[in-house]
Amino acid sequence: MSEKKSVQLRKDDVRVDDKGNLVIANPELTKMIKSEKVTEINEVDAHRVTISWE
Amino acid sequence: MHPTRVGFVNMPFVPIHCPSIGLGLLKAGLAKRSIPSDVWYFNLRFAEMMGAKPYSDIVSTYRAQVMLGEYLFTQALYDHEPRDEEYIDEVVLQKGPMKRALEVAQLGRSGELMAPREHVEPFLDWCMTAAPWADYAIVGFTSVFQQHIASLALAKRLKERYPHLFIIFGGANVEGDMGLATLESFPFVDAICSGEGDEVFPAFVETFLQTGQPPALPGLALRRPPAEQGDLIDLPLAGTVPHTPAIHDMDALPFPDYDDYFQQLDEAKFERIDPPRVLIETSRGCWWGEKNHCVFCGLNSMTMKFRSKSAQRALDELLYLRERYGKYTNLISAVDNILDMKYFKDFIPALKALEIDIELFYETKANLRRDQLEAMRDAGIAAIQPGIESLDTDILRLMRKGVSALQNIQLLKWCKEHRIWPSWNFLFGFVGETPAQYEAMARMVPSLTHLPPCGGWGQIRLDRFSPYYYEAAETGLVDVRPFAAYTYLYPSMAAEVRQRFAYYFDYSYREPHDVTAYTESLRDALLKWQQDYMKGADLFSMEVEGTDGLVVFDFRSAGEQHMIRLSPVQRSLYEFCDSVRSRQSLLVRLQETEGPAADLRELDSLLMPLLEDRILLCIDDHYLSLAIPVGTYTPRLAALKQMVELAEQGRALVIDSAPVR
Repeated sequence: MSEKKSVQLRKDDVRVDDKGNLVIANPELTKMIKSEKVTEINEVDAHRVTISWE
Repeated sequence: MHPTRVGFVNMPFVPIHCPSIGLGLLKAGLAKRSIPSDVWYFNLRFAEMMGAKPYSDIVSTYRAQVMLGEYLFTQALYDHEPRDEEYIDEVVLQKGPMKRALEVAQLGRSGELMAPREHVEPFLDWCMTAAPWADYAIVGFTSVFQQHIASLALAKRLKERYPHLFIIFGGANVEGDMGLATLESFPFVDAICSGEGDEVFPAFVETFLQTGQPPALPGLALRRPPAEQGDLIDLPLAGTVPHTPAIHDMDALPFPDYDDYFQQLDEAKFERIDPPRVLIETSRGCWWGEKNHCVFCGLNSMTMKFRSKSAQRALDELLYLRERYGKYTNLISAVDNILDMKYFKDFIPALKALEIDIELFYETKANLRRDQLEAMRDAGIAAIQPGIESLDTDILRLMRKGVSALQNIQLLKWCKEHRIWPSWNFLFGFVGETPAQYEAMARMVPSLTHLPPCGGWGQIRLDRFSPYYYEAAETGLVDVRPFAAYTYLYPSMAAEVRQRFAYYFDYSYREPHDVTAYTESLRDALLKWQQDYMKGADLFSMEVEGTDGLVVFDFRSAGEQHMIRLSPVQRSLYEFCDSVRSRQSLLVRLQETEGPAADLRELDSLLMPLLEDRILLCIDDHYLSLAIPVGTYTPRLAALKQMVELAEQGRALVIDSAPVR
């Protein structure tokens, strides 16, 4: 069985260290984002209703 | 025994992923009078024969613009030799050396474009055996978009084989003079119904079945009985066209019956390109068009008056359709021209409360508020068509759209935040527009690539029944003539007759407008917008621990990622600009937080870096923040990956200018 998870970015997931550098504070999030299995729903195809031309 | 059934026919070329709401309503209307009927979705069969993908291309790409679907059936209607080379030269390529036209012309020269024609005769032969024609008293064709020639070709064969059949056409292709031209030119058509047939058609059928004679009813144009064939019973007076009375009590309409569609779709053997969707109608007419008819809009020829169903009635219908057809799809598209704003008070909250798994589509006006979009998404409205058309306020004014450029962009931003897909197109060529307006839009577009792009763009078409059509001369449009394609669809007819069949018209400008030339840079920018968006362009803001303000992550251009930290006072102004704000209202906001001494110079010094970073947009002294706040919105995957990369590279945040005191 495949497990479906939503990637959700939250305020606590990101912080800035004392040098002003960006830090991802949630290693689980990093892992999920970098996973090869993660995919994104193609929102264009899901709701295509108009015609294209030119 | 006399036949007592009615057969309805839905011919190519209309979409195969949804039923005909017109036929669904008429079937249900007949059922209320205990008159049995069948709806034959022969378009599904043709898609099966020629392949769903090439079929759908004819329905919804450049092929539709050149009316290829109609042209493919002309040989079957007229039994003449087609003139493919001329059609390619004079129709496909007539609009100038556009890439798409050249591609399509190339396919035409190689024979690929016309390949579906080989299926036409076998298909029509199949149609002749697919339904129990002898059992029908009346056969009704719906004719919208590219359905007219194929419908006429089958009607001709049916009348020859089954002379007892009373053949009637309805739909947008026979509204007004187009319908009369059809009746006058094709003797196998016995009647046309111009306008809304919900009440008139069942009444007509009932009387016809009882008496064997077609009654004269408003909106129906009839041919005389055979002895007097050639004349019309109710030929209109000069300048007038018969039209059915508009339906006023929308709640009295039946629920549409789509059983035949889903049964036939189940049996159809073609690749499922688009998921099926159910059509619902909650209103007719256009409340905006009643006040200001958009100049290019040819919808609602004689029934612009807005009429909507009560919230409870709309809800009942939606639940019925969900219950009956939910096993096939959870996609439901409203065919309304415009969402009833009253629905924000009743229908939409009630829908939300039901918490049913549906994805609804609606056409809307573009100046929706954030809370309205939130409510729509919560209710399951997942896609809208907001009629954006342009991103220049003055051009939008020329169109009579009643919305500003910033309001349009604001809508795109809120749609993205709330996961509502806005389908929209870019239109050019309005009388009074200037090249400078297009240059300005081309410069602005790179700032917007994180927002849903338009599906397509093109010069406006002149549609019958639109203000531009009726007021062409006053507007500055001259040499109005039917699309060149009509020459090939109605080849043996005099020009004045052919003119009466046309819905689409070409035109010239009285004052020279080189639209192709002055829109080139914008068209290039729009194409890049589509490409960047598909690659995952994003721009979002979030509060980040370790900063005292807001951070904007700019991932609009690949390889040029930026993180911009806003000071607390900039943040206050930026978040205030989530909706369009005037410069004056921003000054008031600044004075509220920084004291009454704050002035415009200070305001400008705070806003300037945000404008330079293109995370804030200013048009006509009004401002709109472009970044989407993280919360309801989670950035797209490509952006999240870039964010992780930036963190792993140890990249520091860019700090914007501090306020000048």
